[in-house]
Amino acid sequence: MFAVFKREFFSYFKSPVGYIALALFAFISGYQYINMFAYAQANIASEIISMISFFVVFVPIITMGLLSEDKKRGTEILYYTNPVSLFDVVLGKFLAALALFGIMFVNIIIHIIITKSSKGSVGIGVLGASVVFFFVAALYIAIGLFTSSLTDSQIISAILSFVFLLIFQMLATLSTFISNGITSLMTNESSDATSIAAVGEKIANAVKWLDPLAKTQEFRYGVFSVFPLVYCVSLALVFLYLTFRVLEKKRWSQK
Amino acid sequence: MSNSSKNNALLKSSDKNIDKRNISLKWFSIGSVIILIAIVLVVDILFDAILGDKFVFDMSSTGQHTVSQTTEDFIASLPADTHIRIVGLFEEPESIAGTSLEYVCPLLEDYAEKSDGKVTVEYIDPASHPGIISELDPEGIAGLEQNQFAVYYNGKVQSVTAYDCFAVDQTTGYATANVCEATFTNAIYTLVNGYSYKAYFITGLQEPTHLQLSKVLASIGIESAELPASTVFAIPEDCDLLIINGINSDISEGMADAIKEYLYNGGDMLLAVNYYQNATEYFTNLNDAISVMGIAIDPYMLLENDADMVLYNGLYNQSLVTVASPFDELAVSPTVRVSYCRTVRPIDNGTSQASAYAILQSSELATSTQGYDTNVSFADQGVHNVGMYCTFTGSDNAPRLYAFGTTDLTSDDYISTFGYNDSNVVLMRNILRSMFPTENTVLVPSKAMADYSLDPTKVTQSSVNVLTVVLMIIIPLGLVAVGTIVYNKRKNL
Repeated sequence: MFAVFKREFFSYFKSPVGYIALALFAFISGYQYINMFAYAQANIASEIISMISFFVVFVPIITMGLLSEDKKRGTEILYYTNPVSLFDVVLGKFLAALALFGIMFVNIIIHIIITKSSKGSVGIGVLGASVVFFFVAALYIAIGLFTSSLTDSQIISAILSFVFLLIFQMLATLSTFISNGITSLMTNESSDATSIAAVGEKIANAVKWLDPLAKTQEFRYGVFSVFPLVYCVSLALVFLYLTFRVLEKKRWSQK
Repeated sequence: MSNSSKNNALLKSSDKNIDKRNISLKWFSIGSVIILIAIVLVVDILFDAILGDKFVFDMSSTGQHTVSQTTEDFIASLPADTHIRIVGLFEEPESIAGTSLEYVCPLLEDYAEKSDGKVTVEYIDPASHPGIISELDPEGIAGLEQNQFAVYYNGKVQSVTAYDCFAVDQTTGYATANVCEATFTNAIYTLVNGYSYKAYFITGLQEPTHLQLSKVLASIGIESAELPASTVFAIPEDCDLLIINGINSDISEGMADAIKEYLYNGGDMLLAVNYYQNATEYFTNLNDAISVMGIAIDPYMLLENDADMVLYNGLYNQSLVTVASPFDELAVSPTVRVSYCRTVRPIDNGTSQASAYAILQSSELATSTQGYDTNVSFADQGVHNVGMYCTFTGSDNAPRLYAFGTTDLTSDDYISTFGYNDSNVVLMRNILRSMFPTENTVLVPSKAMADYSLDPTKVTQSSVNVLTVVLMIIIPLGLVAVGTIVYNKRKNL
């Protein structure tokens, strides 16, 4: 697994992809930080959480080539011929992408140093936001890795990943639409408005329950909750397993 | 059998074998994925339902998003069938970051979680549910509006705005303390228990607002109302406490007579005036009214000359005064801070049974002055009173007057700036509590706001420019340049 991790991690710096992702992150986080700094304020936790909303852009860039590129070049045959388990391949690539997020986070550390040197406060909320940063990144990378395993085109992989992540990002909004849609649909067929509204609300709550961002909102204030982290890790495991199964499929599929 | 038919038979049998493995592996793959998803969902749902609330740790310095033990105990003391609805009169916000609601909504969730079903939190926008305001407040007493919170209990309702949830520095406009919990808990308290007493603020005498003191009063079960100055001034029968807070012009003779009568009849009164922007005001009629209690407010400003007691000289004229015994038992600090304050003194021609006691006293080196020139003072060095308590001795229905030559215990300006936990505010709150003891009062302290400010001397235009260039141009462009070089060097490999 370490060999796969090492190869994938360093490959980010042998192509422009890693640099572009890092540059984009540095620019956006820098813009956010300067906007606060100019007003003699620096809420690093807020900056970190804001950066998470840009994962929908960063993750597809970082994960699009992880498996699709190997498929395109035909080098994926190495997964099946080398004495390394497929899950180690998946895990190695996943950790390599996560490590790149660790490199991105250096920007935030620079901002923390500037804040401390300007006598600003870096409270417990920054630690909470940082925890959320890496757990949500892990979940999103697992999703990106899965979409990358579905196709041999980096572009299609990136688009699929973007759509998946966008859906995740918009679960709260979607829950409202779904609730309203169901309520209006059922109102036409039934007259019990109260029970219909209750059904709509329950469905909306169920959809909202899936939203990882809503669950992790309070970390930035220093309120640590274990469940959101368990949720992110367990969902990431599901997507890693799905990726493993997609790769494994080649061993037995006749198509 | 010919060779070809043998080969065909072999192929068919091997095809059969491969197909079987293929199908079983396919079903194993699908089945394992379904089982894993099911396990993850069940584990997550159970974890959330059973342990979700238990594994939450508010590690913020002041527990901004967690209700305090005081509130928890108060809600636990309510009957099990109590149902308090907190209704946000707006759509449930999707993002609360950077808004005042980031301090309110998570706290309300904590109310709901820790109340054992006694408190529920909902968000109903009157724009999409026009009936909600009339449902909560049919007679329109609370004046509910969109974007407010309504706290509803048993047909009674109180409105809470985001502004109520913060103590705001009147000068800068910045929030200085988070009083969300105090506000909501007090609202619940007063809805459940009702008000025990009623205080009237005399208004219309160029006084500033008294919102913060009203909140302090509400927190100990005293309802506030206004009593405008007029030619037909009369103190209502239900007045438990008459408050004159920060007036800048004198009361009329008629009002003085009404106040005298009120005091003679055993009324309670809180008086606070200062020397800020009203140096020429002698408060002749006011002094006439309180003369029955044996004290007078001087038209002089206190000048503290003890270096240990002076906080700011000159412009701010801010100093410490000592809380005298036995009132020091009500204070959390032996001194409180005052500025631009008047001296209060006992007079000889008061009512015979009137007794006056010092509450706040200057040092022995203090003098007083008239006007704002702190370099000129009277030759009256000695201990000066800034606050006095007066009552009648030997009377069953004795009036009580707390008179202060400072508004630094009662003004919106002061309380907003320093919060409810400041020693001045605590002293005032405890004085009021000692006057109007009520059982089971809920005193929730304010919480300090998170401070994200930087040292302004470090944030110069040039430092902003340098950081902009470094963080937004040099670092990103440097990375792009390295990426381009790497790409160009490796594209032909």
